[in-house]
Amino acid sequence: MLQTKKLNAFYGGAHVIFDTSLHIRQGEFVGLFGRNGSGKSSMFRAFMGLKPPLITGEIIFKGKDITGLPSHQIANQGLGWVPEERKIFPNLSVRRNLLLGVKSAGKNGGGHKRSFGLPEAYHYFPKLEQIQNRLGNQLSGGEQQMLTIARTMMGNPDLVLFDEPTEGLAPNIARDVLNMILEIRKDFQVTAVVVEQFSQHLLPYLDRCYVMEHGEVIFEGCPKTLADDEALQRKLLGVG
Amino acid sequence: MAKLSKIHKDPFFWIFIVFACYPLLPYVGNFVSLGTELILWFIFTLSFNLCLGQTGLPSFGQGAFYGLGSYAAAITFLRVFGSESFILPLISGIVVGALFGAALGWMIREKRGTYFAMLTVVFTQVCFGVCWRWDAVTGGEAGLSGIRRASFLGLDMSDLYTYYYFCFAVFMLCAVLIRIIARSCFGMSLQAVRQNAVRAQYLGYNAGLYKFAVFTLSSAFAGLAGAMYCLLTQSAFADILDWSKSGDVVMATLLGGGTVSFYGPIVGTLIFVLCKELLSSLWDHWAFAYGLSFVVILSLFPNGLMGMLQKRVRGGSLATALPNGAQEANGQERTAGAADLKSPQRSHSA
Repeated sequence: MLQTKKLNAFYGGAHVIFDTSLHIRQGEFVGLFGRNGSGKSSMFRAFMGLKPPLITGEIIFKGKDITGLPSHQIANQGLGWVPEERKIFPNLSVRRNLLLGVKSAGKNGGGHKRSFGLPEAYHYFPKLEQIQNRLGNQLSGGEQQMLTIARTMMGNPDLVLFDEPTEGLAPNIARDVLNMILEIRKDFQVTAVVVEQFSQHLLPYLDRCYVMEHGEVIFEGCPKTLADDEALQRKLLGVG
Repeated sequence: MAKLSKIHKDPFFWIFIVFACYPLLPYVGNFVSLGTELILWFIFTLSFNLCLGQTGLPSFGQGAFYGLGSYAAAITFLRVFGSESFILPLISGIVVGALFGAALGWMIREKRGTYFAMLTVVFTQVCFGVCWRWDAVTGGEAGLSGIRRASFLGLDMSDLYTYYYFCFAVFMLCAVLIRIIARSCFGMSLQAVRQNAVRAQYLGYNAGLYKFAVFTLSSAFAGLAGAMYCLLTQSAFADILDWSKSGDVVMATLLGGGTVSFYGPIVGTLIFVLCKELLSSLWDHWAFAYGLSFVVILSLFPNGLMGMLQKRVRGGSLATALPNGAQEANGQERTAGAADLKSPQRSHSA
Protein backbone atom coordinates (compact mmCIF):
# COMPACT_ATOMS: atom_id res chain seq x y z
CA MET A 1 0.00 0.00 0.00
CA LEU A 2 2.81 2.41 0.89
CA GLN A 3 6.33 2.00 -0.30
CA THR A 4 9.43 4.15 -0.27
CA LYS A 5 12.35 3.61 -2.58
CA LYS A 6 15.72 5.07 -1.70
CA LEU A 7 14.14 7.93 0.19
CA ASN A 8 16.49 10.72 1.25
CA ALA A 9 15.42 13.79 3.22
CA PHE A 10 17.22 17.06 3.87
CA TYR A 11 16.67 20.05 6.16
CA GLY A 12 18.79 22.64 4.37
CA GLY A 13 22.26 21.10 4.39
CA ALA A 14 21.40 18.48 7.01
CA HIS A 15 20.85 15.02 5.55
CA VAL A 16 18.38 13.29 7.89
CA ILE A 17 17.14 10.19 6.04
CA PHE A 18 19.50 8.01 4.01
CA ASP A 19 18.36 5.76 1.13
CA THR A 20 15.53 4.33 3.20
CA SER A 21 13.15 1.78 1.76
CA LEU A 22 9.99 0.80 3.63
CA HIS A 23 7.06 -1.31 2.57
CA ILE A 24 3.67 -1.23 4.29
CA ARG A 25 1.15 -3.78 3.01
CA GLN A 26 -2.60 -3.38 3.06
CA GLY A 27 -4.17 -4.23 6.41
CA GLU A 28 -0.87 -4.25 8.27
CA PHE A 29 -0.18 -2.58 11.58
CA VAL A 30 3.43 -1.49 11.57
CA GLY A 31 5.54 0.14 14.27
CA LEU A 32 8.34 2.55 13.51
CA PHE A 33 10.59 2.94 16.51
CA GLY A 34 13.70 4.92 17.17
CA ARG A 35 15.33 7.43 19.47
CA ASN A 36 14.89 11.17 19.19
CA GLY A 37 16.30 12.55 15.95
CA SER A 38 16.38 9.19 14.21
CA GLY A 39 14.22 10.49 11.33
CA LYS A 40 10.85 8.90 12.16
CA SER A 41 8.77 12.08 12.11
CA SER A 42 10.67 13.42 9.09
CA MET A 43 9.64 10.25 7.30
CA PHE A 44 5.96 11.00 8.06
CA ARG A 45 6.34 14.61 6.96
CA ALA A 46 7.82 13.34 3.71
CA PHE A 47 4.90 10.93 3.26
CA MET A 48 2.44 13.80 3.75
CA GLY A 49 4.22 16.06 1.27
CA LEU A 50 5.12 18.65 3.91
CA LYS A 51 8.18 20.84 3.45
CA PRO A 52 10.68 20.81 5.00
CA PRO A 53 12.19 18.30 4.51
CA LEU A 54 13.13 18.30 0.85
CA ILE A 55 13.22 14.76 -0.44
CA THR A 56 14.67 12.62 -3.18
CA GLY A 57 13.66 9.07 -4.03
CA GLU A 58 10.18 7.70 -4.52
CA ILE A 59 7.07 7.37 -2.36
CA ILE A 60 4.45 5.06 -3.84
CA PHE A 61 0.96 5.01 -2.32
CA LYS A 62 -1.69 2.62 -3.64
CA GLY A 63 0.42 2.12 -6.75
CA LYS A 64 0.76 5.83 -7.53
CA ASP A 65 3.88 7.93 -7.20
CA ILE A 66 2.99 10.65 -4.68
CA THR A 67 6.48 12.11 -4.40
CA GLY A 68 6.33 15.90 -4.53
CA LEU A 69 2.53 16.13 -4.55
CA PRO A 70 1.05 18.84 -2.32
CA SER A 71 -0.25 17.53 0.98
CA HIS A 72 -3.93 18.18 0.26
CA GLN A 73 -3.73 15.89 -2.77
CA ILE A 74 -1.98 13.22 -0.75
CA ALA A 75 -4.62 13.48 2.00
CA ASN A 76 -7.39 13.23 -0.58
CA GLN A 77 -5.86 10.00 -1.87
CA GLY A 78 -6.47 8.41 1.49
CA LEU A 79 -3.40 9.03 3.60
CA GLY A 80 -4.30 10.27 7.07
CA TRP A 81 -1.90 11.75 9.58
CA VAL A 82 -2.21 12.12 13.33
CA PRO A 83 0.65 14.53 13.93
CA GLU A 84 2.73 14.75 17.06
CA GLU A 85 1.86 17.53 19.52
CA ARG A 86 -1.86 17.26 18.68
CA LYS A 87 -2.24 19.94 16.07
CA ILE A 88 -5.89 20.88 16.37
CA PHE A 89 -7.59 24.15 15.39
CA PRO A 90 -7.50 25.98 18.72
CA ASN A 91 -10.22 28.53 18.00
CA LEU A 92 -12.78 26.16 16.54
CA SER A 93 -15.18 24.06 18.56
CA VAL A 94 -14.59 20.34 18.98
CA ARG A 95 -17.51 19.60 16.66
CA ARG A 96 -16.15 21.87 13.94
CA ASN A 97 -12.68 20.38 14.32
CA LEU A 98 -14.22 16.98 13.74
CA LEU A 99 -16.29 18.08 10.76
CA LEU A 100 -13.19 19.52 9.11
CA GLY A 101 -11.85 15.99 8.94
CA VAL A 102 -14.62 14.97 6.54
CA LYS A 103 -13.05 16.77 3.56
CA SER A 104 -11.31 13.76 2.11
CA ALA A 105 -14.05 11.31 3.04
CA GLY A 106 -15.72 9.28 0.33
CA LYS A 107 -12.93 9.72 -2.18
CA ASN A 108 -10.71 6.96 -1.07
CA GLY A 109 -12.62 3.83 -1.86
CA GLY A 110 -10.40 1.92 0.50
CA GLY A 111 -12.94 -0.84 0.88
CA HIS A 112 -13.79 -0.03 4.49
CA LYS A 113 -16.59 -2.17 5.78
CA ARG A 114 -17.81 0.73 7.91
CA SER A 115 -17.55 4.45 7.58
CA PHE A 116 -16.25 6.59 10.42
CA GLY A 117 -18.50 9.61 10.96
CA LEU A 118 -19.56 11.88 13.78
CA PRO A 119 -21.59 9.16 15.59
CA GLU A 120 -18.56 6.86 15.50
CA ALA A 121 -16.30 9.66 16.77
CA TYR A 122 -18.66 10.17 19.71
CA HIS A 123 -19.00 6.41 20.23
CA TYR A 124 -15.28 5.78 20.52
CA PHE A 125 -14.58 9.03 22.36
CA PRO A 126 -17.70 9.83 24.42
CA LYS A 127 -15.87 12.70 26.07
CA LEU A 128 -15.82 14.54 22.74
CA GLU A 129 -19.60 14.57 22.61
CA GLN A 130 -19.78 16.07 26.09
CA ILE A 131 -17.39 18.87 25.12
CA GLN A 132 -18.44 19.26 21.49
CA ASN A 133 -19.09 23.01 21.83
CA ARG A 134 -15.88 23.74 23.69
CA LEU A 135 -13.06 25.42 21.80
CA GLY A 136 -9.90 23.53 20.95
CA ASN A 137 -7.77 25.77 23.13
CA GLN A 138 -9.87 24.85 26.16
CA LEU A 139 -9.06 21.15 25.96
CA SER A 140 -6.58 19.14 27.99
CA GLY A 141 -3.77 17.23 26.30
CA GLY A 142 -5.69 13.96 26.42
CA GLU A 143 -8.82 15.52 24.97
CA GLN A 144 -6.80 17.13 22.21
CA GLN A 145 -5.25 13.79 21.32
CA MET A 146 -8.68 12.13 21.16
CA LEU A 147 -9.85 14.96 18.94
CA THR A 148 -6.85 14.63 16.62
CA ILE A 149 -7.34 10.89 16.21
CA ALA A 150 -11.10 11.19 15.68
CA ARG A 151 -10.64 14.08 13.22
CA THR A 152 -8.19 12.06 11.14
CA MET A 153 -10.51 9.06 11.17
CA MET A 154 -13.42 11.24 9.98
CA GLY A 155 -11.67 11.33 6.59
CA ASN A 156 -11.89 7.52 6.42
CA PRO A 157 -8.28 7.19 5.33
CA ASP A 158 -6.90 3.98 3.88
CA LEU A 159 -3.69 4.33 5.81
CA VAL A 160 -3.19 6.28 9.02
CA LEU A 161 0.15 7.56 10.23
CA PHE A 162 0.18 7.99 14.02
CA ASP A 163 3.10 10.18 15.05
CA GLU A 164 3.92 9.61 18.72
CA PRO A 165 0.26 9.52 19.78
CA THR A 166 1.11 9.16 23.47
CA GLU A 167 3.73 11.90 23.67
CA GLY A 168 3.25 14.12 26.70
CA LEU A 169 0.29 12.20 28.10
CA ALA A 170 -0.03 10.73 31.60
CA PRO A 171 0.76 6.97 31.53
CA ASN A 172 -2.82 5.84 32.12
CA ILE A 173 -4.18 8.14 29.44
CA ALA A 174 -1.41 7.15 27.05
CA ARG A 175 -2.32 3.52 27.50
CA ASP A 176 -5.99 4.25 26.91
CA VAL A 177 -5.23 6.24 23.76
CA LEU A 178 -3.15 3.36 22.41
CA ASN A 179 -5.94 0.91 23.20
CA MET A 180 -8.44 3.10 21.43
CA ILE A 181 -6.20 3.23 18.36
CA LEU A 182 -6.04 -0.57 18.41
CA GLU A 183 -9.79 -0.85 18.73
CA ILE A 184 -10.54 1.59 15.92
CA ARG A 185 -7.95 -0.08 13.70
CA LYS A 186 -9.53 -3.47 14.28
CA ASP A 187 -13.10 -2.28 13.81
CA PHE A 188 -12.40 -0.29 10.65
CA GLN A 189 -9.64 -2.50 9.23
CA VAL A 190 -7.37 0.46 8.64
CA THR A 191 -3.76 0.01 7.67
CA ALA A 192 -1.68 1.93 10.19
CA VAL A 193 1.87 2.93 11.01
CA VAL A 194 2.67 4.09 14.52
CA VAL A 195 5.78 6.04 15.35
CA GLU A 196 6.92 5.79 18.95
CA GLN A 197 10.27 5.93 20.64
CA PHE A 198 9.36 2.49 21.93
CA SER A 199 6.19 0.86 23.25
CA GLN A 200 6.13 -2.56 24.91
CA HIS A 201 2.37 -2.23 25.07
CA LEU A 202 2.02 -2.04 21.30
CA LEU A 203 4.36 -4.86 20.33
CA PRO A 204 1.90 -7.77 20.65
CA TYR A 205 -0.50 -6.06 18.24
CA LEU A 206 1.99 -5.15 15.53
CA ASP A 207 2.45 -7.18 12.37
CA ARG A 208 5.93 -5.88 11.73
CA CYS A 209 8.23 -3.23 13.05
CA TYR A 210 11.12 -1.10 11.92
CA VAL A 211 13.76 0.55 14.05
CA MET A 212 15.52 3.64 12.77
CA GLU A 213 18.71 5.31 13.87
CA HIS A 214 20.50 8.31 12.37
CA GLY A 215 18.14 8.30 9.40
CA GLU A 216 18.61 4.64 8.49
CA VAL A 217 16.57 1.51 9.12
CA ILE A 218 18.67 -0.68 11.38
CA PHE A 219 16.08 -3.35 12.10
CA GLU A 220 13.12 -4.74 10.25
CA GLY A 221 11.24 -7.75 11.39
CA CYS A 222 8.89 -9.49 13.71
CA PRO A 223 7.86 -7.52 16.79
CA LYS A 224 8.06 -10.71 18.85
CA THR A 225 11.79 -10.90 18.19
CA LEU A 226 12.14 -7.41 19.59
CA ALA A 227 9.72 -8.04 22.48
CA ASP A 228 11.50 -11.19 23.64
CA ASP A 229 15.04 -9.97 23.33
CA GLU A 230 15.91 -7.35 25.93
CA ALA A 231 19.51 -7.26 24.78
CA LEU A 232 18.33 -6.35 21.29
CA GLN A 233 16.04 -3.67 22.71
CA ARG A 234 18.97 -2.24 24.66
CA LYS A 235 21.20 -2.32 21.62
CA LEU A 236 18.72 -0.81 19.17
CA LEU A 237 16.69 1.50 21.34
CA GLY A 238 18.58 1.94 24.58
CA VAL A 239 15.73 0.44 26.61
CA GLY A 240 14.98 -2.85 28.32
CA MET B 1 -43.04 33.19 20.49
CA ALA B 2 -39.69 31.58 21.16
CA LYS B 3 -38.70 32.30 17.57
CA LEU B 4 -39.69 35.95 17.97
CA SER B 5 -37.63 36.35 21.13
CA LYS B 6 -34.69 34.77 19.28
CA ILE B 7 -35.06 37.21 16.39
CA HIS B 8 -34.94 40.30 18.59
CA LYS B 9 -31.70 39.08 20.14
CA ASP B 10 -30.05 38.99 16.73
CA PRO B 11 -28.10 42.24 16.07
CA PHE B 12 -29.08 41.85 12.44
CA PHE B 13 -32.68 42.58 13.38
CA TRP B 14 -31.71 45.87 15.04
CA ILE B 15 -29.54 46.89 12.11
CA PHE B 16 -32.54 46.25 9.88
CA ILE B 17 -34.86 48.33 12.10
CA VAL B 18 -32.44 51.25 12.48
CA PHE B 19 -31.61 51.55 8.79
CA ALA B 20 -35.16 50.91 7.64
CA CYS B 21 -36.11 53.95 9.73
CA TYR B 22 -32.93 55.95 9.02
CA PRO B 23 -34.64 58.80 7.07
CA LEU B 24 -36.95 59.26 10.07
CA LEU B 25 -34.14 59.53 12.61
CA PRO B 26 -33.58 62.95 14.20
CA TYR B 27 -30.67 65.00 12.77
CA VAL B 28 -28.82 62.28 10.77
CA GLY B 29 -32.06 61.40 9.02
CA ASN B 30 -31.80 64.65 7.11
CA PHE B 31 -28.62 63.42 5.45
CA VAL B 32 -29.93 60.65 3.23
CA SER B 33 -26.75 60.63 1.15
CA LEU B 34 -24.78 60.04 4.32
CA GLY B 35 -27.03 57.11 5.18
CA THR B 36 -26.55 55.68 1.67
CA GLU B 37 -22.79 56.08 1.89
CA LEU B 38 -22.83 54.39 5.29
CA ILE B 39 -24.71 51.43 3.87
CA LEU B 40 -22.26 51.14 0.96
CA TRP B 41 -19.40 51.21 3.44
CA PHE B 42 -21.09 48.37 5.31
CA ILE B 43 -21.06 46.23 2.17
CA PHE B 44 -17.47 47.24 1.55
CA THR B 45 -16.18 46.40 5.04
CA LEU B 46 -18.22 43.21 5.31
CA SER B 47 -16.69 42.07 2.04
CA PHE B 48 -13.24 42.95 3.32
CA ASN B 49 -13.90 40.99 6.49
CA LEU B 50 -14.39 37.83 4.44
CA CYS B 51 -10.66 38.19 3.75
CA LEU B 52 -9.38 39.44 7.11
CA GLY B 53 -11.75 38.14 9.76
CA GLN B 54 -12.76 34.91 8.10
CA THR B 55 -9.59 33.83 6.31
CA GLY B 56 -6.86 35.90 7.93
CA LEU B 57 -5.77 37.52 4.67
CA PRO B 58 -4.32 40.96 5.47
CA SER B 59 -5.49 42.59 2.26
CA PHE B 60 -4.62 46.26 2.07
CA GLY B 61 -5.94 46.52 -1.45
CA GLN B 62 -9.67 46.30 -1.02
CA GLY B 63 -10.04 49.94 -2.06
CA ALA B 64 -8.78 49.00 -5.52
CA PHE B 65 -11.80 46.77 -6.16
CA TYR B 66 -14.14 49.41 -4.80
CA GLY B 67 -12.59 51.97 -7.13
CA LEU B 68 -12.49 49.62 -10.12
CA GLY B 69 -16.15 48.80 -9.53
CA SER B 70 -16.90 52.50 -9.50
CA TYR B 71 -15.04 53.10 -12.78
CA ALA B 72 -16.60 50.03 -14.36
CA ALA B 73 -20.07 51.36 -13.57
CA ALA B 74 -19.22 54.83 -14.88
CA ILE B 75 -17.67 53.56 -18.11
CA THR B 76 -20.55 51.14 -18.68
CA PHE B 77 -23.02 53.96 -18.20
CA LEU B 78 -21.22 56.56 -20.26
CA ARG B 79 -19.59 54.57 -23.02
CA VAL B 80 -20.97 51.08 -23.40
CA PHE B 81 -24.68 50.64 -22.80
CA GLY B 82 -25.94 54.18 -23.02
CA SER B 83 -27.56 56.31 -20.40
CA GLU B 84 -30.79 54.46 -19.78
CA SER B 85 -29.36 51.52 -17.96
CA PHE B 86 -29.42 51.27 -14.18
CA ILE B 87 -28.68 47.64 -13.47
CA LEU B 88 -25.94 47.01 -16.08
CA PRO B 89 -23.45 49.41 -14.46
CA LEU B 90 -23.96 47.55 -11.19
CA ILE B 91 -23.39 44.18 -12.86
CA SER B 92 -20.28 45.48 -14.58
CA GLY B 93 -19.00 46.68 -11.19
CA ILE B 94 -19.42 43.17 -9.77
CA VAL B 95 -17.83 41.51 -12.81
CA VAL B 96 -14.84 43.87 -12.99
CA GLY B 97 -14.27 43.63 -9.23
CA ALA B 98 -14.41 39.83 -9.41
CA LEU B 99 -12.14 39.61 -12.48
CA PHE B 100 -9.42 41.83 -11.04
CA GLY B 101 -9.80 40.12 -7.67
CA ALA B 102 -9.45 36.72 -9.33
CA ALA B 103 -6.34 37.80 -11.26
CA LEU B 104 -4.63 39.24 -8.19
CA GLY B 105 -5.90 36.47 -5.92
CA TRP B 106 -4.48 33.78 -8.20
CA MET B 107 -1.06 35.45 -8.25
CA ILE B 108 -0.76 35.93 -4.51
CA ARG B 109 -2.72 32.93 -3.20
CA GLU B 110 0.37 31.25 -1.80
CA LYS B 111 1.77 34.41 -0.17
CA ARG B 112 1.37 35.11 3.51
CA GLY B 113 1.55 37.94 6.04
CA THR B 114 3.60 40.96 5.09
CA TYR B 115 4.25 39.73 1.54
CA PHE B 116 0.54 39.33 0.93
CA ALA B 117 -0.23 42.75 2.43
CA MET B 118 2.50 44.54 0.44
CA LEU B 119 1.46 42.97 -2.86
CA THR B 120 -2.11 44.16 -2.34
CA VAL B 121 -0.87 47.68 -1.54
CA VAL B 122 1.24 47.67 -4.69
CA PHE B 123 -1.74 46.52 -6.75
CA THR B 124 -3.85 49.36 -5.34
CA GLN B 125 -1.23 51.94 -6.17
CA VAL B 126 -0.81 50.59 -9.69
CA CYS B 127 -4.58 50.84 -10.23
CA PHE B 128 -4.58 54.33 -8.75
CA GLY B 129 -1.71 55.39 -11.05
CA VAL B 130 -3.42 54.01 -14.14
CA CYS B 131 -6.77 55.63 -13.35
CA TRP B 132 -5.08 58.91 -12.48
CA ARG B 133 -3.15 59.06 -15.75
CA TRP B 134 -5.30 57.31 -18.36
CA ASP B 135 -7.27 60.33 -19.50
CA ALA B 136 -8.86 58.66 -22.53
CA VAL B 137 -10.64 56.00 -20.51
CA THR B 138 -10.87 57.13 -16.90
CA GLY B 139 -10.84 60.86 -17.43
CA GLY B 140 -7.55 61.17 -15.53
CA GLU B 141 -7.53 63.72 -12.73
CA ALA B 142 -10.91 65.09 -13.82
CA GLY B 143 -12.52 61.67 -13.43
CA LEU B 144 -15.81 60.74 -15.03
CA SER B 145 -19.00 62.63 -14.38
CA GLY B 146 -22.41 63.08 -15.95
CA ILE B 147 -23.77 59.78 -14.72
CA ARG B 148 -27.48 59.65 -14.01
CA ARG B 149 -29.47 57.17 -12.03
CA ALA B 150 -31.97 55.81 -14.53
CA SER B 151 -35.30 54.33 -13.48
CA PHE B 152 -35.36 50.72 -12.38
CA LEU B 153 -38.52 48.56 -12.32
CA GLY B 154 -40.57 51.73 -12.52
CA LEU B 155 -38.83 53.28 -9.52
CA ASP B 156 -37.31 56.72 -9.93
CA MET B 157 -33.75 56.17 -8.73
CA SER B 158 -32.85 59.82 -9.16
CA ASP B 159 -34.84 60.37 -5.97
CA LEU B 160 -32.39 60.09 -3.05
CA TYR B 161 -34.86 58.32 -0.77
CA THR B 162 -35.71 55.72 -3.40
CA TYR B 163 -32.00 55.12 -4.05
CA TYR B 164 -31.38 54.89 -0.30
CA TYR B 165 -33.93 52.11 0.05
CA PHE B 166 -32.56 50.34 -3.01
CA CYS B 167 -29.08 50.40 -1.45
CA PHE B 168 -30.58 49.27 1.86
CA ALA B 169 -32.20 46.26 0.15
CA VAL B 170 -28.94 45.38 -1.61
CA PHE B 171 -27.05 45.71 1.68
CA MET B 172 -29.44 43.38 3.48
CA LEU B 173 -29.09 40.86 0.66
CA CYS B 174 -25.28 41.10 0.70
CA ALA B 175 -25.13 40.88 4.50
CA VAL B 176 -27.34 37.78 4.52
CA LEU B 177 -25.22 36.22 1.76
CA ILE B 178 -21.97 37.00 3.55
CA ARG B 179 -23.38 35.62 6.80
CA ILE B 180 -24.46 32.43 5.04
CA ILE B 181 -20.99 32.11 3.51
CA ALA B 182 -19.36 32.69 6.90
CA ARG B 183 -21.49 30.00 8.56
CA SER B 184 -21.33 27.46 5.74
CA CYS B 185 -18.94 24.55 5.35
CA PHE B 186 -16.94 26.80 3.04
CA GLY B 187 -16.76 29.42 5.81
CA MET B 188 -15.65 26.79 8.30
CA SER B 189 -12.90 25.72 5.91
CA LEU B 190 -11.82 29.36 5.60
CA GLN B 191 -11.55 29.58 9.37
CA ALA B 192 -9.39 26.47 9.36
CA VAL B 193 -7.15 28.04 6.71
CA ARG B 194 -6.99 31.21 8.82
CA GLN B 195 -5.97 29.35 11.94
CA ASN B 196 -3.41 27.11 10.32
CA ALA B 197 -3.12 26.64 6.57
CA VAL B 198 -0.69 23.71 6.88
CA ARG B 199 -3.08 21.79 9.16
CA ALA B 200 -5.90 22.45 6.73
CA GLN B 201 -3.73 21.18 3.88
CA TYR B 202 -3.00 17.81 5.39
CA LEU B 203 -6.70 17.36 6.09
CA GLY B 204 -7.25 17.65 2.35
CA TYR B 205 -7.98 21.38 1.91
CA ASN B 206 -6.25 23.23 -0.89
CA ALA B 207 -5.54 26.38 1.12
CA GLY B 208 -4.38 28.37 -1.91
CA LEU B 209 -7.60 27.63 -3.77
CA TYR B 210 -9.71 28.67 -0.78
CA LYS B 211 -7.78 31.93 -0.49
CA PHE B 212 -8.24 32.58 -4.19
CA ALA B 213 -11.98 31.86 -3.99
CA VAL B 214 -12.62 34.10 -1.00
CA PHE B 215 -10.49 36.90 -2.42
CA THR B 216 -12.48 36.81 -5.66
CA LEU B 217 -15.79 36.73 -3.80
CA SER B 218 -14.78 39.59 -1.57
CA SER B 219 -13.63 41.65 -4.57
CA ALA B 220 -16.98 41.08 -6.29
CA PHE B 221 -18.84 42.50 -3.27
CA ALA B 222 -16.41 45.44 -3.10
CA GLY B 223 -16.93 46.05 -6.83
CA LEU B 224 -20.69 46.15 -6.28
CA ALA B 225 -20.31 48.65 -3.43
CA GLY B 226 -18.06 50.79 -5.64
CA ALA B 227 -20.55 50.71 -8.52
CA MET B 228 -23.34 51.79 -6.20
CA TYR B 229 -21.15 54.56 -4.85
CA CYS B 230 -20.57 55.74 -8.41
CA LEU B 231 -24.33 55.97 -8.92
CA LEU B 232 -24.71 57.78 -5.60
CA THR B 233 -22.13 60.46 -6.39
CA GLN B 234 -22.90 60.27 -10.14
CA SER B 235 -19.17 60.37 -10.82
CA ALA B 236 -16.01 58.30 -10.56
CA PHE B 237 -12.66 59.63 -9.38
CA ALA B 238 -9.27 58.07 -8.85
CA ASP B 239 -9.12 59.23 -5.21
CA ILE B 240 -11.07 56.22 -3.99
CA LEU B 241 -8.40 53.90 -5.37
CA ASP B 242 -5.76 55.47 -3.19
CA TRP B 243 -4.18 53.18 -0.60
CA SER B 244 -5.60 55.37 2.17
CA LYS B 245 -9.11 54.17 1.28
CA SER B 246 -7.98 50.59 1.83
CA GLY B 247 -6.36 51.70 5.08
CA ASP B 248 -9.66 53.20 6.24
CA VAL B 249 -11.39 49.87 5.69
CA VAL B 250 -8.74 48.00 7.63
CA MET B 251 -8.96 50.51 10.51
CA ALA B 252 -12.76 50.45 10.63
CA THR B 253 -12.82 46.64 10.59
CA LEU B 254 -10.21 46.27 13.32
CA LEU B 255 -11.72 49.01 15.45
CA GLY B 256 -15.11 47.35 15.35
CA GLY B 257 -13.68 43.91 16.02
CA GLY B 258 -14.04 42.19 12.68
CA THR B 259 -11.66 39.44 13.69
CA VAL B 260 -14.02 38.24 16.42
CA SER B 261 -17.48 39.23 15.27
CA PHE B 262 -19.48 39.30 12.07
CA TYR B 263 -20.88 42.68 13.17
CA GLY B 264 -17.48 44.18 14.00
CA PRO B 265 -17.02 45.82 10.56
CA ILE B 266 -20.47 47.42 10.83
CA VAL B 267 -19.70 48.90 14.26
CA GLY B 268 -16.29 50.16 13.09
CA THR B 269 -17.74 51.64 9.91
CA LEU B 270 -20.46 53.41 11.85
CA ILE B 271 -17.87 55.11 14.03
CA PHE B 272 -15.53 55.91 11.14
CA VAL B 273 -18.10 57.34 8.75
CA LEU B 274 -19.91 59.33 11.43
CA CYS B 275 -16.56 60.76 12.61
CA LYS B 276 -15.57 61.56 9.03
CA GLU B 277 -18.84 63.17 8.03
CA LEU B 278 -20.18 64.72 11.23
CA LEU B 279 -17.22 65.29 13.53
CA SER B 280 -15.19 66.76 10.66
CA SER B 281 -17.76 69.54 10.26
CA LEU B 282 -17.28 70.49 13.90
CA TRP B 283 -13.56 70.02 14.32
CA ASP B 284 -10.81 70.14 11.69
CA HIS B 285 -8.60 67.72 13.57
CA TRP B 286 -11.15 64.93 13.80
CA ALA B 287 -8.69 62.48 12.21
CA PHE B 288 -6.34 63.03 15.15
CA ALA B 289 -9.08 62.07 17.65
CA TYR B 290 -10.11 59.10 15.50
CA GLY B 291 -6.53 57.88 15.13
CA LEU B 292 -5.84 58.32 18.82
CA SER B 293 -8.98 56.45 19.81
CA PHE B 294 -8.00 53.68 17.38
CA VAL B 295 -4.58 53.32 19.03
CA VAL B 296 -6.01 53.42 22.56
CA ILE B 297 -8.87 51.00 21.90
CA LEU B 298 -6.73 48.45 20.06
CA SER B 299 -3.98 48.70 22.68
CA LEU B 300 -6.46 47.92 25.44
CA PHE B 301 -8.69 45.58 23.45
CA PRO B 302 -6.82 43.89 20.61
CA ASN B 303 -10.07 42.32 19.43
CA GLY B 304 -11.75 45.69 18.95
CA LEU B 305 -15.02 46.99 20.32
CA MET B 306 -17.01 43.82 19.66
CA GLY B 307 -14.29 41.79 21.34
CA MET B 308 -14.55 44.06 24.37
CA LEU B 309 -18.32 43.80 24.37
CA GLN B 310 -18.31 40.02 24.06
CA LYS B 311 -15.80 39.77 26.87
CA ARG B 312 -17.97 41.90 29.14
CA VAL B 313 -21.22 40.19 28.25
CA ARG B 314 -19.93 36.65 28.55
CA GLY B 315 -17.36 37.26 31.24
CA GLY B 316 -15.02 34.92 29.42
CA SER B 317 -11.55 35.31 28.09
CA LEU B 318 -10.88 37.14 24.85
CA ALA B 319 -9.80 33.89 23.32
CA THR B 320 -13.36 32.64 23.61
CA ALA B 321 -14.85 35.62 21.84
CA LEU B 322 -14.86 34.01 18.48
CA PRO B 323 -16.77 34.67 15.33
CA ASN B 324 -19.26 32.72 13.39
CA GLY B 325 -20.92 30.39 15.72
CA ALA B 326 -18.00 28.88 17.53
CA GLN B 327 -19.64 28.40 20.87
CA GLU B 328 -17.73 28.12 24.04
CA ALA B 329 -18.32 26.62 27.40
CA ASN B 330 -17.05 28.11 30.59
CA GLY B 331 -17.04 24.82 32.44
CA GLN B 332 -14.07 23.71 34.45
CA GLU B 333 -11.48 21.97 32.41
CA ARG B 334 -9.86 18.84 33.60
CA THR B 335 -7.47 16.34 32.24
CA ALA B 336 -9.13 13.61 30.27
CA GLY B 337 -9.11 10.51 32.33
CA ALA B 338 -9.53 6.88 31.62
CA ALA B 339 -13.27 7.19 32.17
CA ASP B 340 -13.46 9.66 29.29
CA LEU B 341 -12.53 6.96 26.86
CA LYS B 342 -14.64 3.99 26.14
CA SER B 343 -13.33 1.13 28.22
CA PRO B 344 -10.52 -0.34 26.15
CA GLN B 345 -10.42 -3.62 28.04
CA ARG B 346 -13.77 -4.59 26.61
CA SER B 347 -12.51 -4.95 23.10
CA HIS B 348 -9.15 -6.48 23.87
CA SER B 349 -10.19 -9.01 26.40
CA ALA B 350 -10.72 -11.63 23.74
